[in-house]
Amino acid sequence: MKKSRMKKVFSNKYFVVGLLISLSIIICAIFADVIALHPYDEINLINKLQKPSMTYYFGTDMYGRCVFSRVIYGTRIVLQVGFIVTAIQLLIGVTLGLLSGYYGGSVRRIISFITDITWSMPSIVMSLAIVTILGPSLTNVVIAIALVGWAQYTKIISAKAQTLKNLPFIDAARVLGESDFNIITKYILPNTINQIIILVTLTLPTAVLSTSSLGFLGLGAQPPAPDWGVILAEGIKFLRPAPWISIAPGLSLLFVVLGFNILGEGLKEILDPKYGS
Amino acid sequence: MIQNIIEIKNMKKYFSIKKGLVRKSIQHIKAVDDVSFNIREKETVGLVGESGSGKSTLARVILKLSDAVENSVLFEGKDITKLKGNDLKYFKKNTNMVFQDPASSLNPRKTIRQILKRSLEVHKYPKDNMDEFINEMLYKVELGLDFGDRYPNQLSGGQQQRVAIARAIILKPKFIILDEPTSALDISVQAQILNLLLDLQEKENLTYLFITHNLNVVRYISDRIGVMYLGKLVEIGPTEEVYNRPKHPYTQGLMDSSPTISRSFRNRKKFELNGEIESMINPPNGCRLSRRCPFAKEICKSENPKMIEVAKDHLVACHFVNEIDLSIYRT
Amino acid sequence: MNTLLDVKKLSIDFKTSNGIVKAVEDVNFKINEKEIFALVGESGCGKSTIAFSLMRLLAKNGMIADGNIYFKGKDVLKLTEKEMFSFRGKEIGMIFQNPLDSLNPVMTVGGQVLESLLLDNITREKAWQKVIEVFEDVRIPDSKERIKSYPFELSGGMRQRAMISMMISRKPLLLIADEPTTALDVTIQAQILKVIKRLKDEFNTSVLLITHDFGVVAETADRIGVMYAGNLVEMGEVFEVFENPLHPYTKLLMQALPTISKKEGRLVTIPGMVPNLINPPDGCRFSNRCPQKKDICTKIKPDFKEYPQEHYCSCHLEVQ
Repeated sequence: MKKSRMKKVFSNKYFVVGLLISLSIIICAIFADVIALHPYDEINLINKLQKPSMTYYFGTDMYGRCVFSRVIYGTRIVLQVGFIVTAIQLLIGVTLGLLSGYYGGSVRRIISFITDITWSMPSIVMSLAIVTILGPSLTNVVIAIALVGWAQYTKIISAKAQTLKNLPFIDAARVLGESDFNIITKYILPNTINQIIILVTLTLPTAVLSTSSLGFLGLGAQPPAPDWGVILAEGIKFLRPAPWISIAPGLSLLFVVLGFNILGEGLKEILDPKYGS
Repeated sequence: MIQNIIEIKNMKKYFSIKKGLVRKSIQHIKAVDDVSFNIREKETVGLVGESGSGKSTLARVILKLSDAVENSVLFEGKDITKLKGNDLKYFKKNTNMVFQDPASSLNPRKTIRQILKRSLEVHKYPKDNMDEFINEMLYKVELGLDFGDRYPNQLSGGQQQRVAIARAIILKPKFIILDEPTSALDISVQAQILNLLLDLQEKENLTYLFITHNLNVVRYISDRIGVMYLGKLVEIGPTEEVYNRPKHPYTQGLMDSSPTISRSFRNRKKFELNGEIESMINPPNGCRLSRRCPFAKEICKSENPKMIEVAKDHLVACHFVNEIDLSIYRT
Repeated sequence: MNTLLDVKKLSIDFKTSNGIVKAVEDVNFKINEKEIFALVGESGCGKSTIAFSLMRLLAKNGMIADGNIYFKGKDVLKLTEKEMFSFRGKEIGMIFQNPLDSLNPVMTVGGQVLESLLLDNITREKAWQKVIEVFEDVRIPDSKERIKSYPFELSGGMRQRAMISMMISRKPLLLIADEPTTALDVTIQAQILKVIKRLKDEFNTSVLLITHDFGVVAETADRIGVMYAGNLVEMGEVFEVFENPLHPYTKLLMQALPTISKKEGRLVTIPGMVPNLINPPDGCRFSNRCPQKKDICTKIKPDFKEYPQEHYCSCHLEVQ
């Protein structure tokens, strides 16, 4: 039983490709010290603006730093931010969504009100505002993006919870004597996994992009931190002579975003109890 | 001494439609309107009615899925609205329900074994015996043990309903409500499930409230039949009486609309009600059937008929029950 | 009595990722003019599949593997798409189980009937007149008002009448009704069945009634075909089949119907399960569940034989 399930899981193309991409990013992050060729902040003005070569896979930037190494070390920031932001958004958004959907009535009206306000605020502008108030740093970027992005979770989870709570298996649970808390956590929540996965795959890359955007604007991680947005921003001025400085982090962002989206597709298919039957 | 497992006394369940910014209550849906009857130990009461009759709402109120009015539902003599703590746990353990759509009545994310185990966990059964108990249940509903590891979507409709029945009886309850349990199933599967329900009732001393719109099924399985229309109980009595010699015009109309397999039945004289089932939002004053009943007189339109005992244990809510002759419609 | 529809040796397959499902196998039946023919069976027996194949509306992965469908002598399977377009609705109409799903929610019911009438090249004025007429034919009260109603404003019974009126507006010779009353209350069901009977009596429309409800068949149909796992196992005049069932499956099914009270005994059940139609068994498809199975049953498919009183049955056993 277990072996055939494993086989089916790994025969899913989306899952395998997405997993490989995600794993490669994680490996880069963990083993950055080994994979990177040079320290990310090693300045070497003699070698500045060099084309990609065997010594410098992605060339060097305006300070002679190895772009490849910066990108590799940058995966740490990407992952840290991505996961922390997503985790916070998930926690706030799913909890509020479940409460709103299950209880309905005035609970739903209040939560909807708060959600709608948060939802209608333009996210980049809001995060800009928050970071400006709190001061530029990676931690504050994380707080800003998380506080602004949970609304999506609430809306979708609330809608799903509303549909679920009217189904007979919830009635059966109430007839059994289950408490509201148990119904929400053991019956409703597990049936929103699909929605949560989709949301995570949508918001994780967005979080990464938002972080990079804020980094690009100088509001996130401060140089010499190898935040991809920062690298991109630094490379803009040198787009003509040394395009690789911006292209490398840009493509890497594309790679990460695609990878997590594909993984999400695969996970959604696999986690469906109907899968493979 | 036969006791009443369930007593329903003047049950009312109204839903209000609220409109406007301040959500003022402007209309009432009288889903259940002053219904009274008892369900005795070990009997099967069949409850029939069409859409809007209130039978499903009645079931939900009995099991506390919907709030009841004080003193309108008694379980073993106790008011269900006043149950707390251990008394409430006792009520939950001893009552259960089987639903119409078996697929959506089982948690799609859990295996059969996990679903059944949950029932035992909630009522704090000893962990060591759980698996044994679950196996016993699967055996009782004639499912192989290997079904335990499957998910609901991997089972057929009939198998899913067996699981739902296993879940309903695993805590050895006294009273089970079955809400259209075979309506979504094929004829041959329906026969299996009905037989199973009867066998279980005998072995486990169960009391059933069986809700259905299928008159043949209700006649097969019930000891007494209750007929509901637009929130009211219009007739209740022993099965053969209500089925073969109904006294309420609505019951007669229902029996005559229900197709049966008989050559003579096809061309018989049928009792027909005018028009369609009305909305629960603005039910007629007085007798709910007054706008459709060919026997309706002035009093029917203004005064609600009370339940009149026409024979032992046979009650009918009709002003003219002793004057109307429905026997010409008998086969 | 003239033959309207002649289905000969019809076999339908579906391609799935698990293999080819032999959903319908070697089905033969006729429907005459001015007749209501009921096709009954449990889920998965193929009755709806046959209905869709008559209109050539099978799903993309479905195909007619063998056989012919003749309608008034014309070979339906050989018609071009263009000819099929005028064929559907005009010669054969179809109504479904859930009228709410089949009616356009954003158009008035009158408007929808009008649309199908306009396909016949008549003036709008004349068409509206016909709409009101046909609403009256199906006994929709206040027809002049009702043509302006939207589906959601109507009750289930009214919607089904509207659906029927749409389908009969062009006076098709055959109406296929796929579980038309399953979703309706019993008293409304009785009214709709009355409308269907009226179609036959007054408008000479034949009806192919697809249902799993024997009671509906008893009330409405003239002849019945019983299907099991893609095969037509028995066919004949309705009460002849009910009172004198020949096929073991029909016999067991009749005994599984609750027509008694529990004091008289338990309902008879059919042991086993429907076979997998991807690899259907050799021989008779009912053999693994048949209480009267003989050796030959698992090896050779029984022929569809004719018996007295125009009663047909496909079974190896010698029946009296």
